[in-house]
Amino acid sequence: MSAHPVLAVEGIDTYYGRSHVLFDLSLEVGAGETVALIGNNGAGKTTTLRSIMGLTPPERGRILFRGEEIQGCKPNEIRRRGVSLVPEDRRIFPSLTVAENVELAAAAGSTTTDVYDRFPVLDDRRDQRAGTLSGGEQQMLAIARGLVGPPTELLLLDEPTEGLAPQIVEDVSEVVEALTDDGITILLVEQNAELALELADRAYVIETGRIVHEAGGDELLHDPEVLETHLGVR
Amino acid sequence: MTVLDRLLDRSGARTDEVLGRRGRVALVLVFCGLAVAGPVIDVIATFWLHVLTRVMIFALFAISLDLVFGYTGLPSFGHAAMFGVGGYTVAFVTLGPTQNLLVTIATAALASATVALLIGWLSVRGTGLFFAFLTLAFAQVLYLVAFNDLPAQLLGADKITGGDNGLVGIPGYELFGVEFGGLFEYYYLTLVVVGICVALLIRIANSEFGRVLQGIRENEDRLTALGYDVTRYKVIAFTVSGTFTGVAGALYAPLVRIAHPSQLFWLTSADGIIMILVGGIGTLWGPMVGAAFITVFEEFATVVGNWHLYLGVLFVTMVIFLPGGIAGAISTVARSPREALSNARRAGRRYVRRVRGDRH
Amino acid sequence: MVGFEALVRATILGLQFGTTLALLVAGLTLVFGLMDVINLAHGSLYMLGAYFGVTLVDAGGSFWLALVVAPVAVGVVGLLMEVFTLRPLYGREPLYQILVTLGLAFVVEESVKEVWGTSAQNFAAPAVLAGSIDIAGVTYSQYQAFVLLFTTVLVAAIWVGLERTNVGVLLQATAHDPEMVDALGFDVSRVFTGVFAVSAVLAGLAGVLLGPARAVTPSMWFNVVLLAFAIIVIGGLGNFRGAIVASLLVGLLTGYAALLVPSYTELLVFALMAVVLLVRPAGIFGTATGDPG
Ligand SMILES: Nc1ncnc2c1ncn2[C@@H]1O[C@H](COP(=O)(O)OP(=O)(O)OP(=O)(O)O)[C@@H](O)[C@H]1O
Ligand SMILES: [Mg+2]
Repeated sequence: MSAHPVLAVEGIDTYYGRSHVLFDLSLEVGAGETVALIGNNGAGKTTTLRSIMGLTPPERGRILFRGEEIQGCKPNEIRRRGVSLVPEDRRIFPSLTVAENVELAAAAGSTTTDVYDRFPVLDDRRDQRAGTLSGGEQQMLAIARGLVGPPTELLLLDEPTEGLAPQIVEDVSEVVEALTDDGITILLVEQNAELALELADRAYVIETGRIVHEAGGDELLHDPEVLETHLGVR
Repeated sequence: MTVLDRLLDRSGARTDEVLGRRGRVALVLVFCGLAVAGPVIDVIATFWLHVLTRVMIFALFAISLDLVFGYTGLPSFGHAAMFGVGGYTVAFVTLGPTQNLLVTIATAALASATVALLIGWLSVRGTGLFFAFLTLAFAQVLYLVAFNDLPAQLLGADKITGGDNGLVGIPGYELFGVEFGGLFEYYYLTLVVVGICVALLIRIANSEFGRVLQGIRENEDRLTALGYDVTRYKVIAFTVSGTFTGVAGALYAPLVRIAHPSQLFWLTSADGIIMILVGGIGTLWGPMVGAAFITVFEEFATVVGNWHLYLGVLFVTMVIFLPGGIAGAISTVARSPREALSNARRAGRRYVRRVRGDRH
Repeated sequence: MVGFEALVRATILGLQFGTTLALLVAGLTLVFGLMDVINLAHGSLYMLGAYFGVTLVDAGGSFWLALVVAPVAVGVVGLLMEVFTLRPLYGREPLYQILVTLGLAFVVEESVKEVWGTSAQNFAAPAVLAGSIDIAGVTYSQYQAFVLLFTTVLVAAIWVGLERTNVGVLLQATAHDPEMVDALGFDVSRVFTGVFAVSAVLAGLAGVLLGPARAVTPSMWFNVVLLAFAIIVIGGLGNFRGAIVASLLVGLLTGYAALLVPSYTELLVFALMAVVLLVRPAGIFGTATGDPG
């Protein structure tokens, strides 16, 4: 184990304009870990990922990636250091083809991992416009896009299963597991708490911009009180 | 609190009234001050009577432009059209049938209202800021019409708009046997007309209609969802604003004794935009201050050299560093001088960061 | 009655003007598509191209040197404009961006007056192309034929570049979602600066090319920028193909109008624009979805 966790968020406060969204929020993700961040709608999960990625930089606090401060960096610098975001709602480029989406992302760095091996569904659709893909395919494309380009050490996944049919949710979780096996560190945001806790080694529970609970995945999954009070799961 | 207020999430604590009681008292004081000062200025510095008359006219131009530009959030780059049409109408009427003040001003207002209705109706079709460009283009059409004296060419007449010479020798107004030919009388005439118009504009801004306009600026989609015909409100706002701009033009042409294509030219629109930005977009009172500032500044700066160049640089600098204009600066400083200072420092640091390519 | 020969010549003149306008409009559309900026100073960059060109030619440089150097110099001006006045405004209300470009246009006009004075400059076409050529019994100015050829090639190259190259893909993606492109590892602020500078170079080029044909004066920017935006409205916002076709259309319209009703050329363009707004507010080639074509 190296001296530094891959990601250490230390007491950040983040605002959208004047509205204060994250309050003194801290979390850590160790090398090779999959850590889940769970919470209700509007709790601040996406904002946490945006802060890490430099899209909505925090006004106070520090964010360390492999021990180096990144909170002042631009998103493209953060990406080139090895952090990659698969955003909420996928945000693929709909008018470009699948291949163009992938090639564009790849052009930002040197990794030429053959993503089509990992995502065979995309292989058949290289020349299809990304906007015409199904939801599940779009999600795969979004993840694929996050893996090419600069080497990815930490993957930030924002609700990868949102709006997908149960069967597709299965496929996505398999992908996430495969990524973990390949040694990619993952910070996973999920509304589907049960799925998140299954996939994750540890989890943080966020509520109105504050971390209110931290535990091992199994621990949380088997703590009915936590599930009920924080996540409304019965 | 009105229903609209509640729907727009305005708390009762916040007063949205532009020019609240204090502002209106200040305006009345300025009005009385100008009324009292007239004879004094006339004796000691007649030249200033002319400057102050211009200031009042451009204050009216600026406040009526701000009603659409800042208050409704419809950036018009073509208000020269209505300003110029006001002036040309005055020329047509006073050189023709009558010099009667009421008839002339009413005709000028009607003519500019018609032009504004047409330009507004066409331009609201532009998405987003293309509205600005469309108003600019349609105002340019009027300029070209006047400059080439298109009506005369079409009707085979000798001259109608007078082409690039304009229409010269506009006589003064007359009302109930009183001639407003001299500068002194014209100063008071302007004071009264501008006073009435400004009072009306402020009433409109604070009426239910004005609140809808403000709602359009703040959240157009919300108003549409509430069932307001936003497009119609925009066109009406543009027409109202254009009407008062036409009155300003109608006061301007007799002062300079000429209706000229330059009054329809984009630079006249730009003058208005500069005044409202320098004064404080959307505050209604700021633009009047801006008008005064720019008009007086012009008097002095012409001596120094290319004052337009300085003005351009000032304008660009203010857009970047002081988008709230003089009004914004005054209200920040009044609230807390210390905060104003730290804001300024923060703005400076932010500028450097952004120039380096940081997007936050 | 207008003769056949005059009509053919007006067509060439119109096409030549149209392709040159397309150079201007291409840059303007790119800047609008990517940064959402309505750049009223685009005409000023065009004007600077013409003035830099005149100055270089007068200083003894050849027209060809001017054709290369002047646009590059305009590109540098554009780059400085973007970095120092637009970068601070991205993310603010878009109104302030259009205001700042209005201010810049103002400053450039006044600066040009300071440096070159207010009177029109005489921009001589290169001596090599001073003659005329004869095709099928109609004589054309060699210079106009050159401009037509040169700009056509250039516009075609830009088109292919946008549709077929990696840079084109990057620009399309940036137009759609700049934040995401940044998060993929591209410095979007540099992309913006690059695009703005290139659009300035194209404007400068158009200025040098049209300089010899039109009066070079400190206020020449205004009509050109109005014309260019009218073309964008006619073609459909953010629609590159539409913008190019509309440029040719407006060029031809101008060519014929110059022949038949010389003082109404601009009025006709604005009238066409008004008609398009009434009949097809999304522009002739615009789609309801606003999908860039
Ligand atoms: N661009 C924005 N401007 C202002 N407020 C915002 C913005 N985006 C999010 N917020 C607010 O910040 C808070 C946190 O939002 P965030 O998107 O981080 O929540 P989330 O946990 O990801 O929710 P969800 O599960 O719905 O995706 C919410 O109250 C939201 O309304
Ligand atoms: Mg979210």
